[in-house]
Amino acid sequence: MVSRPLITVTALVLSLLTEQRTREGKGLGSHGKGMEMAEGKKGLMEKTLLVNLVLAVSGLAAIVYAGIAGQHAVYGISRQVPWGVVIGAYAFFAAVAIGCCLVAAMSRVYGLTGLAPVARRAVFVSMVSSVAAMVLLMGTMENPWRMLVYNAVSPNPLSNIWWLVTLTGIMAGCMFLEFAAMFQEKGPSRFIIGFIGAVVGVGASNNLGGLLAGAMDPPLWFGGQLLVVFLCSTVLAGAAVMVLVVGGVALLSGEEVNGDQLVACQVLAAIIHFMLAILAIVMIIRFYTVFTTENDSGLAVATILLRGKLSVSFWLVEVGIGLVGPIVLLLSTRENIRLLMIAAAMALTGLFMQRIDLVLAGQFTPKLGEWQRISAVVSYLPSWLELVAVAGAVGIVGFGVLSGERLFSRFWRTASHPFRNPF
Amino acid sequence: MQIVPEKNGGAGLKRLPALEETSSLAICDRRRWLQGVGLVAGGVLVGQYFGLQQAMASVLGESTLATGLAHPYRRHFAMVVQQDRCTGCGQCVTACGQLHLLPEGGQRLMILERPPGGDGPSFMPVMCGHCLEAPCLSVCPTRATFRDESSGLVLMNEQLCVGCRACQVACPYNARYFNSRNQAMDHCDFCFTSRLRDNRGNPACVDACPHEALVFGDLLENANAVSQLLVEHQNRVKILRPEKGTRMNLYFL
Repeated sequence: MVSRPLITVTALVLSLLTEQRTREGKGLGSHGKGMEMAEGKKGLMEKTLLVNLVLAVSGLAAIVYAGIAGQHAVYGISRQVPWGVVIGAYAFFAAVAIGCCLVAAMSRVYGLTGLAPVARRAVFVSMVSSVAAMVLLMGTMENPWRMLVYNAVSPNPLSNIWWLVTLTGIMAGCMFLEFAAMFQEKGPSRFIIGFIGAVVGVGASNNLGGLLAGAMDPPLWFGGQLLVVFLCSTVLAGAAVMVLVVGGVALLSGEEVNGDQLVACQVLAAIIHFMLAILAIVMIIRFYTVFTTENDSGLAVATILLRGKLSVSFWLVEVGIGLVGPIVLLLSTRENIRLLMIAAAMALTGLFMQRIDLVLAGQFTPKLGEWQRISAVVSYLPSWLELVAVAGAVGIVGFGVLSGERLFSRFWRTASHPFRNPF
Repeated sequence: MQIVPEKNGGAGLKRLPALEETSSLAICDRRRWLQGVGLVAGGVLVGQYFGLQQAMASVLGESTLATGLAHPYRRHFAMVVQQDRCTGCGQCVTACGQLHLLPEGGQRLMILERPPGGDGPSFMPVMCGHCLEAPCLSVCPTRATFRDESSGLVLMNEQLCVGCRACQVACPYNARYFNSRNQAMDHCDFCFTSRLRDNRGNPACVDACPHEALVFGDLLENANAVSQLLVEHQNRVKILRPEKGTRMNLYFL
C-alpha cells in the first residue's frame, strides 16, 4: 500500500531533478545571459530541493502519526495549554498565503506595476503556502476528516475557525484558478478571480486575528487595533516571503537579481518597511494604554510578554530581530538584494515568533487564579514531533516553490502582461 | 461600573448582589420584573454609550439569576457548591469517571486546591456551568457543541467534533478537555444523557459526595433545594469570573 505513493514521489523528485537538464537539452532552460545556471551552483538547487522534500515528508509523517496516536498523546499540549506551536505555525503560514495573495492582487488587480514581475510567482507561492497552512491546520485537529465534511454540512457562522477555514479555502481556490488562468491571460476573469481572492484573503486575515485574540484570556489585541495588526502583518509576511523567494531562487541558481526583478524587490522592501513602521506604532500605543489605563484587560497578557515567561522571545525575537533590525537595515539601503533578503528573513522570524507568542501568552494566564493549583506550572514545551510538523510546513513551501521554479518559471520570467483595467 | 474580583474570597470569585433587592428566585413579581427589565434596558443603553460592554454583560448575568424570568428555557438546572463542606476527598471525581467511563487523565469535574496559607475554604470543585452566554458554543466550527432547547444545557454531538480545541481555549473556567475514548471534546453535562434525561436522579457527583457539598436542581421549581439554598444564603452567593459575562449556572457558597 505504501509503495505506490513512494514510487510516485520518487518519480516526481527524479523528474524535477532532471527537468533542468532536459530543458537545457531542448533549449527551454535558457532565458538569456542572466538565466544560465553557473556551473558551481548546479548541485545547490538539487540539494536544497531534496532537503525540503525530506522536511516535507518528515512533517507529513509526524502529522499523520499524531493523528493516529492522538495529538494529546504526542504533542506537548495540556488541558491548560491546548494550543501549541503547530497552530501558531498554521497562523504564520496562513498569513504568508494570504499576504502573497494580496501582493499578487496589488499588481494584477490594483495595478501596482512595480510588482508585476513577481505577481505570478506570488500567486504560486500563495497556492503552495495555502497547502502548507491547511496541512498544519489538519495537524491541529484530532478529527480533521470531519472538518472536510461538517464544515459544509453543519456550519457555524459565529465561529472564527469556520470562517477562517472557509475563506482560506475560497482564497486558495481563487489562487489555483488564477494560476490556471495564467496560461491563458484572460484579463477580466483574471481580474475578478484576483479581486475575489484579495477580498476573501482580507476576511480570512481578520478571522485569523479573531481566532488568536479569542485564545487570549483576556485578549491583548481586539477591535480596530486587531484588524490593523493582522492585516499589516499579513501584507508584511507576503512581501517578505516574495523577497526571499526571488532572492533565494536567484542565489540557488547562480543568477543575479537585476532589472525589473530588483525593482520589484525594492517595492516589496518599501512595503515591508511601511508595514513594520505601522506595526511598531500600533504596538507601542497598545502597550502604553495597557499600562496607563486602569483595569485594562490586556494587562495580564502584556505582563507575560514584557516581563514574564515569553519576555525573551518577545524582546529578542519579536522586537529586536523582527521589528527594529529590519527597520534599521532597510533604512540603510535598498539596493543590495542580500541585505533586502536578510531584512525580510528577520521580519519573517519576528512574525513567526509573534504568532507563537500570541497563541501561548493568553494560555499562560491562569484562568482561575490562585485556585488553579497547577497554575504554578502552567507552561508549555513543544514535543519534537510538533517541531518536525512545523519544519514539514517549511519543507512543503520550500519544495513547492523550488519545484515551481523548475516547472513553471518560464511563465513568470517572460514579459509580464500589463495591468488592464476591466472597467 | 468596574468589576473587580474579590481578593479575600479567592481570585476569580465575586459576591453576587443581594437577591432581595430585585426579587426572589422563583416567585414571579411582574412589577419588579418590569422594573428590572427597564433597569437592564437603561443599563444597556448607558453601557453601550460609554463603551462599558464588559460591565454590561456582568449586570445581565446577575439580573437573570435574580429575576428567574429571563431564563429562556423550560428548565433552569443549576449546581451549588458549598465550599466549606468540601474536603477534597475526590469521591465526586471518582463517581463521575466511573459513570461516564472517562479515560485516564480525563476529568469532567476538577477539585481545585488553594495554595496553603490563604483564608477561607481550601477546595473548590469546578465543572461546566452551562453558561447562558457560553463562549464554547460560538467558537465551535461545526456546531458539535450545542444548546439543548428542552433543558437549556450545553451538550456535545460527538460525531460532529473535529477536535480543534477551540472550545477548550474559549472556556474561561477550564471545564473542557479532549476525551480520547470518544475522540471528541468533553465536559460535564450534569449527567443529562445518563440520568437527568430519563429522570433517573441527581448527577453522580451529587450522589457521591459524603458531605453534601454539591446540591443540584432546577431553579424554576419553587421547592427546589437549590432555590432555597440560594435564597437563604443570597448575601454570600458567588460565581466564577463574573467579568466574563457568561451567566453560568454554577454557584458557590
